[in-house]
Amino acid sequence: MRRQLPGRHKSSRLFRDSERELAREQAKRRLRRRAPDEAASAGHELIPPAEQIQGQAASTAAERLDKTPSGSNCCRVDPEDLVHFYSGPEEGLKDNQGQEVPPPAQATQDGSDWPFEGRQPEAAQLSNQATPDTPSSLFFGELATAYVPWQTFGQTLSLREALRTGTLFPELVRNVPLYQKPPGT
Amino acid sequence: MDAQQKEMLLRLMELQFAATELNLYLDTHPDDMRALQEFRMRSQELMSAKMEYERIYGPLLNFGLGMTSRNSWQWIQDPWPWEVNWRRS
Amino acid sequence: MWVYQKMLQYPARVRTTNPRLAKAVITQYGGPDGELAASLRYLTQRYTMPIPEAKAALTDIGTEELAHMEIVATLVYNLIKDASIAEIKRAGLDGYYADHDKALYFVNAEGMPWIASYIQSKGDPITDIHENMAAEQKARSTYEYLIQLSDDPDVTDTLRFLWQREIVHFQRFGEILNLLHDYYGRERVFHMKGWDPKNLPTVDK
Repeated sequence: MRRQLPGRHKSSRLFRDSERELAREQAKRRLRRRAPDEAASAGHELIPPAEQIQGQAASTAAERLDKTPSGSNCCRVDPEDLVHFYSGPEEGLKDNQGQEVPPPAQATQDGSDWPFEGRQPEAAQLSNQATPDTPSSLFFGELATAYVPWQTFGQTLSLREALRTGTLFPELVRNVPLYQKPPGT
Repeated sequence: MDAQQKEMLLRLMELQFAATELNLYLDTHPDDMRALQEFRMRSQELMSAKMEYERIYGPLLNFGLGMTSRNSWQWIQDPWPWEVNWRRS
Repeated sequence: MWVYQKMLQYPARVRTTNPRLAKAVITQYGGPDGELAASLRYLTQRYTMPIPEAKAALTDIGTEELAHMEIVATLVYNLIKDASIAEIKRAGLDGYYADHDKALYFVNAEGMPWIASYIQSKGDPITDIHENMAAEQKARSTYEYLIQLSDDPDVTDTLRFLWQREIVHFQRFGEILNLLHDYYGRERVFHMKGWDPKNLPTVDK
């Protein structure tokens, strides 16, 4: 029997609002799922086929594209233009010993391994999709992997300036504090 | 420490700092030709400035890497770096 | 092996005696995010790094952190060396004075002694580099707080130099991380056709 969670009684306002929100989300996802083929056909072997659950990333990515402010100088990237820069696109995923990493387990029908009755685990998302609506997302990478942009050799400060500032490279000069609280907070 | 010695030491600090920065940069960009060239230049300047300083004021490095002292063991001489008063007055 | 150069990396100086400020600044000497922790962390991690760039960077940055430790020690030494007993008491340094007089010791701002748990050397190179990047950020933040606390312009200037160095070290460790990802063959990077991932164009804000 499904446990009644506090505050989720059918008559409570919270419950009604969240149901409405849920219905809205599901409608949006249905719309997205109608045109997932563009992404799948971009030639990325890591993107799971359309039948699998696409998960949150796809819908929020699509939503972010819609929310792009008009007149901004960000570019929309056609997935066709993306180059799959990968050491060995023909092979499958390998771990650092060179062993093949098996694909994640498919969602089981009866959910017998899963602690919560009636819940099915979703298939893991193997990679994030291209979502270029801000300058920082012009570069895309593997999930759960940090990356720091490469420095290239440009100008150098004068010797005196360099010692006083704390670096030889003007592109690394920053002001204290590095992160400012936004105004009004 | 008189003003002239401090001036020379400051010049050395600047050269040493440039060499250190380039050293760190080259550690992660070992094939960067421009940086290598810059490093070579700074390194040479540093070596000659260091020899100049040591000739007058004594060794800057221990364990045989600094210029040998003249008559007494200058390495031990004051001031040591944390005692140098960098204020102008 | 190590060699000592009889010269600070930066002309560190203080304007006036200030034991109260020294009590805070000493945390970058013997505290959890201080220069001793940084240098020992990097120097001990370098033995098990798989690529030469990592071994070199850890050695060099670890050595530079020893030089920074010397700068912090210079600040603390000069801030308390002429303090009277009354000033020491007013600064709340009675306990420290009882144990150490005006000598330098590895403690944090509250007087807790240094401990090896401040550092980790996990063996996994990716983990270690992330630890180092976090350490640089922690040090950067600590310098920001110390700059806020400082009422001595010369001390502030020296702290700001050290603050800037942490940012540069973070960049170097980031680059080592990228190289390690290359090494492990995990560079699954998507980028526009004709763009070099090591040289992406920047967007003007």
